[in-house]
Amino acid sequence: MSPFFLDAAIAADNYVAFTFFIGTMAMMAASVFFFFELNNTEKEWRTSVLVSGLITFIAAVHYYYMRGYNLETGGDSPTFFRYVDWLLTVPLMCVEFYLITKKSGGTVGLLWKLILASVVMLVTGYFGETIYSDSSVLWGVISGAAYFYIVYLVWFGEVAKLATAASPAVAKANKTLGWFVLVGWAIYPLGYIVGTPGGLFGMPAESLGIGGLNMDIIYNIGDAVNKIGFGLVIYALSRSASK
Amino acid sequence: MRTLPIFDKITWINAVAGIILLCWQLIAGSIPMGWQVFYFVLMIGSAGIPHGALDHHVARASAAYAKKKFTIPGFLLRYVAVSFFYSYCWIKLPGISLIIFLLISAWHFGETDLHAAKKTWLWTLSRFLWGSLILLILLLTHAEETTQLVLRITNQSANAITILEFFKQSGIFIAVSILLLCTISIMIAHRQNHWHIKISHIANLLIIIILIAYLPLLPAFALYFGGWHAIRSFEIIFNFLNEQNHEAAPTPAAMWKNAIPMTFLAVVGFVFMAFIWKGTGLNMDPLPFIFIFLSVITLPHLDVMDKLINSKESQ
Repeated sequence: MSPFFLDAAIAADNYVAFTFFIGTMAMMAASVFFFFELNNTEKEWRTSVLVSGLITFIAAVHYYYMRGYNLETGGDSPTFFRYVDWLLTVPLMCVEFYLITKKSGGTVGLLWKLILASVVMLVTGYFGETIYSDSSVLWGVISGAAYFYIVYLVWFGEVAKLATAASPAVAKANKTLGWFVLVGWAIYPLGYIVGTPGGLFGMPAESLGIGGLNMDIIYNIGDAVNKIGFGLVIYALSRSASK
Repeated sequence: MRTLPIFDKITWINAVAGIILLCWQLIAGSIPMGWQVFYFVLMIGSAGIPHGALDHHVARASAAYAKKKFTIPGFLLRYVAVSFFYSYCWIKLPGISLIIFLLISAWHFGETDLHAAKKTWLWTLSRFLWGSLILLILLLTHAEETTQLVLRITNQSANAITILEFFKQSGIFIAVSILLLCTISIMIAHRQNHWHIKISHIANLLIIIILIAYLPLLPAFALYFGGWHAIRSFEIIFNFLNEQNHEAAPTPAAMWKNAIPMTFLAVVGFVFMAFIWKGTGLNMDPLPFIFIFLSVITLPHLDVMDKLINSKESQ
């Protein structure tokens, strides 16, 4: 029986596959929610809520495949699928920042800055983790610099200024989204460092109880919180700003 | 100057916590290493790093007060550049970097404790001597632990070994000399320019100094750095930002909350720096690296606090 079908058996103690399954369902449920709520959303916020739905939908499809890959390979980490998922969803999250600040002057230039930074962060992260793992520090530094740049834009830079100028509701939402970027997204560079042999003070990740398999669980939970949470903040903003 | 009782309460609570740790040590023979690390992480994470996490607010307020231009990108770039440069120095010149760390720590501790004094050359000298004395007490009362740590920090640097040998032989003499000089300097400076300080502050600090002399190095450093120095710095920052009607400090609790994002970023930066450090091929365990990291973020922080205290003195 192909594990790409939902009836593939998951062992009771296979927590990794279990979180892939939960991730698929949670992302799918969130997508249905965002898409169905579009009709009840004010016109000016519809694109933002639609993008939220797209993010969780893309993730749901990837999680479905990642679950299958994980089961079929006997527990391998689906790094390729994960990066493809991030490469599509993270720039979309950056689009959300542009959409919520557009009214107060958010420019296409800002949109491209955010998208470019997120693509650099992910592509260089992928290079360091898979193709050029011998020079993982160099790729990690470039990827990390892009992450810090996005954090800067959201917390102190253009995005923060435009959000403050837009309205108190947008400023509040931007602050919450900023926390997602600062804390939620931090698990990815931290995961990269822990996953690089000797990356954390030369200690093997397994000795800290955060080896490869456990990193999958951390990523799965982190992804669900980040993507669904991100969308819910946008949804809440669409409601509070429409009042 | 308005002193908020909340900061005093915290430093007294920290002193009591230090007494509890000391009692534990006396009763059980020693404090388990796990608990020492827990206390260290707690104090550094909740007060040590957060007190520097408001630097961008402080720098902006200081610049506004001095009617100087200020931009966040410029400030952050300079901050990061100084940190990177100092990290590079640690890799290339560990012995000299250690001396710089000791000197800036001495100045920074003294400047914070004697911040209310006027800006005269005698008070400047007193500040440096006072900070040096605190540091010497911390180092000399933990000579063995310090030696091991310094050798690990500097990768057995020849310069560091020379410095350690020098302190082993003449540390007590230097400490007594500095104590005498510091006392004389403060007395003369005080006669010339009166220094207002609460007796309860002196009592609180004396208790903490006694405690740090008897506790193991890790909790001792955490007690002074997180339990005293960081809280007093928070008080100075709060009073300054409050006087400037800065939005970052409406209440002490709100100010601390405002320090959380940068504190988190500093922790991510710490792990990131450790990762880059690995790329240099140097093998280093976490504990010495924590001290190097603290030194690296202390250097730009010192500049920010220096400007704050100088701007207050010019009022």
